[in-house]
Amino acid sequence: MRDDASTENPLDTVLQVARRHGRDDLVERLTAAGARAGRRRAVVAVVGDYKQGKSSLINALVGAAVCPTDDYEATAVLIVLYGAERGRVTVVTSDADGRPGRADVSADELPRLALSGAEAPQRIERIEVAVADSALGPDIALVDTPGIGALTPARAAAALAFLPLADGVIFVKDAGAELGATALAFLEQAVDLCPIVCVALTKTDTTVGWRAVRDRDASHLAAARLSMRIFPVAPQLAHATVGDASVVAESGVDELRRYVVDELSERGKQWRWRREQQDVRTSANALADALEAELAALGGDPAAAVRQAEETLREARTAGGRWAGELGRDFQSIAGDLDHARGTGIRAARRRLEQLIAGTDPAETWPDLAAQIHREVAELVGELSATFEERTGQASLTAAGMLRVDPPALEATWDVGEAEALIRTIPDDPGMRQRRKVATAIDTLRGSYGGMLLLGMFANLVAIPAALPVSVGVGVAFGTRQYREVSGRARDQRRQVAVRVVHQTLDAADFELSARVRRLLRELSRELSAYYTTQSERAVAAAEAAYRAARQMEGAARKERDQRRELLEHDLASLRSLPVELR
Amino acid sequence: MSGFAEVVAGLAEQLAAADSSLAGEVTRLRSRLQGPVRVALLGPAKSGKSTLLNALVRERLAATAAEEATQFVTTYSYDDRYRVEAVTEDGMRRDVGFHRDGGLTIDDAVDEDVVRIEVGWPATGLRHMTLIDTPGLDSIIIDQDDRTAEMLEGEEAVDAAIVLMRRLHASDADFLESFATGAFGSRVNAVAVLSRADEVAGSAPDAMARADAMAGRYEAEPRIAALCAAVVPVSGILAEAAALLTEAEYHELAELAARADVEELTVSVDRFAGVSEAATGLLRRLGMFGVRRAVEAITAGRVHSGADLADHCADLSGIERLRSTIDRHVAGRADALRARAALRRLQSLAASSPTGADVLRSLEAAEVSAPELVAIRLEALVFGGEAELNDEEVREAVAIAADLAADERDRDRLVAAVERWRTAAADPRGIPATAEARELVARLYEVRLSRLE
Repeated sequence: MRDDASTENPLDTVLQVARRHGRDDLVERLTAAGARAGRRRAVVAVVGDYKQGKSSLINALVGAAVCPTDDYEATAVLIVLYGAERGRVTVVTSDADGRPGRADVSADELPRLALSGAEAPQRIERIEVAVADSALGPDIALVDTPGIGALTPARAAAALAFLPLADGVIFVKDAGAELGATALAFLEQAVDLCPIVCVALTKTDTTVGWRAVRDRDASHLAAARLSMRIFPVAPQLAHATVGDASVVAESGVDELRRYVVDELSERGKQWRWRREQQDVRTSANALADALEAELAALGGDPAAAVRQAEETLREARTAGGRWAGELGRDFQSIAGDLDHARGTGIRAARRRLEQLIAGTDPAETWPDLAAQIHREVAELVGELSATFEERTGQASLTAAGMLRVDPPALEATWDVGEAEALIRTIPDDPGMRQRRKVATAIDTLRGSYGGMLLLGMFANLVAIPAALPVSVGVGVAFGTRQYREVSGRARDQRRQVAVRVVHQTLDAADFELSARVRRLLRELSRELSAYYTTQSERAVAAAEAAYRAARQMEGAARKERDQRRELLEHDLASLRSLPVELR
Repeated sequence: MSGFAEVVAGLAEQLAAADSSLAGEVTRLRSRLQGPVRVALLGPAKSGKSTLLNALVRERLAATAAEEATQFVTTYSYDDRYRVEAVTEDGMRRDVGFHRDGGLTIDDAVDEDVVRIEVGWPATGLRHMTLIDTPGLDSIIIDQDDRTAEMLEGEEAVDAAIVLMRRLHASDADFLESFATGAFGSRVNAVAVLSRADEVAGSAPDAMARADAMAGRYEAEPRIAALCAAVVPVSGILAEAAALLTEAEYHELAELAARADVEELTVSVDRFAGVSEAATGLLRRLGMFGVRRAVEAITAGRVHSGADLADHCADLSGIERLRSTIDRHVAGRADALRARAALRRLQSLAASSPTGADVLRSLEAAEVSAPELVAIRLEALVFGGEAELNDEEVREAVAIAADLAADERDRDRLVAAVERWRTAAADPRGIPATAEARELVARLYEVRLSRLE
């Protein structure tokens, strides 16, 4: 054992001190945190319209034919791919009551499960694919997102909701057409939500004149003041059987892969460093506090020290019995309040939409109305998300206060300054405001609860406004132009139809929202309970260790107490010699 | 002119008599009733509208380019002389300078106040059909491009549309829906084209066959079936090549096909284009899929001349299937469609005219009684899935709507059919749309019956 702590890995230093003082709780925490941080992967979302070659590109990037491709069906679920030693396909599902399930399946099942034609008895949240020897290495996970369908504003909003969860975005479009206004608007928002965004221009092997399209795209991006690289790629060439190695180089896939790895592995390193820092800092402080307390007790009355330790242990045990009930009550009241807010919101939306209909002829204004319905629901989702975030955060803090531990929202895992800067750059219009709320809600979740678990669920919540089938068949209901009567009576009838559609749509939204919010709450409460149970057990364990130490010292000879003091002073010194940001 | 068109023409005269300020407008409408059917090519940017237009006319009339090419709504109609005019917002027309170089090249810069370009051209392909090229609609939201929207609904309204899409997804059917229910109101006058079909599956050798399978599945989707008469896969570039390919180009290609390294050259456009200027030109003409398939056909000895190659391209392109679909679903109905467009316009004129009330009533009466319109409405109800008919009823409804001119002599059968459908229409359990559809079928039987008397 070396004594010079400054040349040692800070984590190891603290770990050694913790071991020496029988703090199994901290030993466990530091070991787990080290392993967890080491496993953390950078997440790259691959987004784009249908049939632009997303899945083919992903397969070329990881170097294996994993994602199913099909002429007709499109990828319909999130597929998360990450490098691993052995290949494995895991389906993450939830049943009607929101109970999660995981099952390993054979890789042959992927097309059946992931493509849009799939009919699965259970809802698939996502599919996780461990890719053996991924060409991207073990540190980067790719997310194959369902096509965002011609980038209609509602779908684009749903896709944007994914972005705060990702460390990087590859926007996939083929070389057959240049970037349109909607795609540009999407990219503009994407760079605000995600630091690394690039464009993959696919099908360059078969598109005549792809360079002209690339140049036009570049000037569109420049005009929109978007600085991002465009990578021409031809995934087909990456596994071409004709010609030599130069064909593979021409595919451009290697260059894109290099870019992704270079940009993101650095980011991943920083993230890991911050995370480790946080864990080391918390543990070191907890240790130092305990050692100082013991040191002070050594100088005083040993019997008093034992009484003190006994008191602390009793408190820890009592708190362990109380926090769970408190958290349960909090979540119950949150569920009630969210229910209430949802009901009020839906009723208010209904009123506003009815007023809107009353003043117009729905046959003329239906497209605006349909858009307004989506906006109303999106706004409500935003509000509920914000309330959800705030209230559950508060409940978590209460439990943390009772246990005198940190809440699982570790500030350092998400750089707060970065998040705030990000929020400030988003202009303050109402549509943006709702997206921002959702974005911050997801940021918090990503930082706090291990993100990935809730990824599918939260994305589902955000996707509600996009998924409402509000416009289907309504045009038909209003009759075709030449049959469209202009009389007041006919207009009244159309208004009634419009009001009915509004009611049906809002009812559907209400139902979906209520089910999903409740599910989200249940899931979160389970997560938090598991976390605080562990925390509570650790606190009790720590108090027990301190109590044992105090009892030992009570009957110890002077010499032993001096030795103990020396050890404590030594360990305190090595904790204090840690770099300043860790103290 | 059919009976219905004549009725509309007569009513137009009545309106002109009732309100002399509308005489000019009415004359224009009457000439529209006799003119060729107006078909618009619609679709997102770079969906291949101009290329397909050239293929249908068999001349290079519309500019095509890698970047967005068409900036104005441009109508191409038959004329015995070459003519290009710009129409401005205030309705003024002025000549636009152009020259012919195996096609049409517009020389003059066109100002921003221009709403439409009109091209007159003595091309046989335009004799029976005026084609309207439109700027690309960005994404699927139609009102993003006001000029195209105005063209769809304004006085120059189109009779039918070919809707081009590079891909179609159930959720993208909104695009079709906005035409079918907004601008037209019937499926019979929209044909969906899965354009650039040669690019399916990375321009694989079987791309056209796979596009065909895709089109079949799209057609089978109820929502899409409700919106258009058919989904046809077409490779516009090959169809255009079939019409424009030269013998010299064939020889250039044959030379390339004879090279030993041809397989490696056709791996990517960059490799092939790198060979020579001529190869670059061939790629622009045929596309990667076309070059690969043409090389294969030449190597296999199936193609021996420019004419062979043109035939081969035409076969591959699917253009003939599109033509026959247009003939069946669009041109065959042109009369009724145009009369309906005229009727619609007359109605709005009459409604805004202080002395048009009587004519408006007659127009409304004509509208509900015209069997052509009844048939169109019936199809909309049936295919739109709005009316809840059983399979048997659907078959009968579609059959009678499709065959208005049928000469049926069995009086008893017709009387029974009218009776049967009327009774069904009165069924109180049916929703209004179902009742309406049944009533319309009964009315079409009555039309047949009335011909006996």
